Amino acid sequence: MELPRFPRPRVDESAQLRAEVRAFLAKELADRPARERAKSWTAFDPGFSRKLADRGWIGMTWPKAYGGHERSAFERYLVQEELLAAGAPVAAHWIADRQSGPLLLRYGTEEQRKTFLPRIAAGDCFFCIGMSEPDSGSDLAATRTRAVPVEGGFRVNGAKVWTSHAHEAHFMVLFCKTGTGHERHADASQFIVDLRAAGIEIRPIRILTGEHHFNEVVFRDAFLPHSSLVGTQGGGWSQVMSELVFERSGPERFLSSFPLLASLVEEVGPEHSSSAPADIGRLVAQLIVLRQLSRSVAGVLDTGGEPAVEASIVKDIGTGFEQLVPEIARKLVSIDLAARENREFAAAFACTQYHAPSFSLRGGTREILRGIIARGLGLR
Amino acid sequence: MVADTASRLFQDLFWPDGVWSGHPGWDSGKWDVIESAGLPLALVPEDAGGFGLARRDALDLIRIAAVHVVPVPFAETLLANWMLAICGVPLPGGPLSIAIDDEPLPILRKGGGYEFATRAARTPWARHASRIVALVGHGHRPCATAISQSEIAVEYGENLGGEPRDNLTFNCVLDEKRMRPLPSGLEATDVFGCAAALRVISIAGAIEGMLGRTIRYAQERVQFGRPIGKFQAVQNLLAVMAGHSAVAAAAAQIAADAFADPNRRIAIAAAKVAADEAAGASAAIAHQVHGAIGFTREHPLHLYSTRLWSWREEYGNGETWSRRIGAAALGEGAEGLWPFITAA
Repeated sequence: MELPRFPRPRVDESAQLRAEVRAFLAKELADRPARERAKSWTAFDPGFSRKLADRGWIGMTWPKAYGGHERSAFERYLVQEELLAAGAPVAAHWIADRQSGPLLLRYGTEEQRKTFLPRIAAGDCFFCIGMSEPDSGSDLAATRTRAVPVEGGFRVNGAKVWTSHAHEAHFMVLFCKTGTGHERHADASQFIVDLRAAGIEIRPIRILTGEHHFNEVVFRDAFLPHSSLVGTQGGGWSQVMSELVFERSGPERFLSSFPLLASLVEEVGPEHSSSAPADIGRLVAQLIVLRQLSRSVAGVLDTGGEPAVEASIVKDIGTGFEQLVPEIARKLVSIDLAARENREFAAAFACTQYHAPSFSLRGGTREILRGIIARGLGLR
Repeated sequence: MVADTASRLFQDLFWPDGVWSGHPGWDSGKWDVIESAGLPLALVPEDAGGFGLARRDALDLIRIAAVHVVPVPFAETLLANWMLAICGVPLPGGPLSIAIDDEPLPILRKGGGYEFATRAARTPWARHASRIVALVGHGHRPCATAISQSEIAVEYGENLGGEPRDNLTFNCVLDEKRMRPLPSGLEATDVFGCAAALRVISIAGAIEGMLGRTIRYAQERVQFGRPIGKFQAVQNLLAVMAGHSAVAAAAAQIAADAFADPNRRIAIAAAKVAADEAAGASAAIAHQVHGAIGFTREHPLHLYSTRLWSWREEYGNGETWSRRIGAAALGEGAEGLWPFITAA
């Protein structure tokens, strides 16, 4: 039995970069109200993403040959956490920067890297993820969407759901079956899908806030050229598993409700009720420790490790923290009173409350994560 | 490596044949083995007689001691020797206790010296200590001083883990030569934070030891024809406990890195808050998984759980430290909160 390990994160704090990012955000987001900041990384703003790209803050760690900036993983982490803490609208480029780009760097062909990475880093090429299906949520291996070999490529039929921002993204990384057999893990592959191609229909699904983030993406005999296959045909399962580690341990797994916490501190202020300092102090303490854990996993990832269990632990604890923030907020501030007085805080709270259930669902449900952790502990 | 040496030594001394030998009481022979290995000097700077171990590695020995449920004032002696060394007091040797609080213990000017007649409640391991290292003060910089058994009255007590926590009444007059001030920049509250850091690190060690033991139990205990660890409900508990163990381990890293750094008081506070929560939650899960056998003195689970219940209370519990963090954070406003966190 090997217990999960969280080596001390190497901290090479770049005070200059942090100051640069803070100054940029203070200026760009000066008029962004709390209710907008509370949307965190679900807010989609291509103009803002392009400004980040201009500063060199997308594809930061990628080789310069592919439009990247060859900065360290810790510098990238610093920028990510500053963006999230400020409630910046980062959804447009987030997926491509976090996982589609790294996927292509690792498994893509030279042509794919040259085609997509510079455009992603320039902030004008956005990706979405095609994993979940109507009958395949947590059980990714139950995927039914299938790409069948045809002259020059593949023909795809099936449907993906909960596809965030498919209607605004340019490409999808599609996970689907390619084999003829029924092995659960062996016959899947990944493709880059141009969402404007024929045979693809994108239908909106409204989330709790009423906003259009989710979509159903239906494939009816959509053609995918050979050049769109990522990695090896049949290697999709192991590729997608290593992609998920990137998806699970970043600062977006504990900072989604930070904008509400910042508003709460402002709302409560230095003149406070007797329980406020202890409640706020507890949240701040949890945040400081989560940041240590998350940076530890980032460090292991950067040195080529695959800390799947540790990443799952960070996401499990981190999303629990994210969901605790609105509970503490409503304990310390009367939401009813704030709403009657039309205070901005009530709107920020509403946004976080609406989004809170998704924190422990997206990117792997809490139950799936705990299964991964239990397996890591040698229990299954 | 000193960590491996310490781990083997603690294992041999206190777990011969896999059974804890900490009962029935104090064994000075075992202390002498630890002392002759030099471990109690681990935190002492090299120029003051230490062996030049990095501070984080020295503090990690406290985690290792807790993994092995070492029934001696190991953490306290490390801190006491460090205090004496940085203040320039000769090291007395032997097991040491510490009498420190968030403020210096009061002394009163008397004749050519200072009367030290304060009560210090729940002082760890005092009855077995060769000296009690106290942090005292009276209108000047806090001073470290080493007090001998003949200068105290001891009333025995213990914590929930059965560790000695004695009520002391100091009864002596200190002459100025015995009192050496803390280096400038360090306040009594920072030394109190160091003591809290010891407990954070010990909590991390105890949870680690308890997690390993609880997983093994779940793999061995068979009910309904299979190990209980095969049931999802039990797996869920253990996955949650692994999260608490991770939190405690991270808190221990933070506490070690912020040890005696007056600029990082918030970090120490955060570490104790997080360790407090992790301690209680982990102990609860470990007991749940162990069932009735873990509720007995016959089974070693209590060695960890009862200490965790004690250590989370000592040198400020989570509530105390979280109020300090919160009071500071609430003065920062919406825009100051994040910089407050990254600076911690």
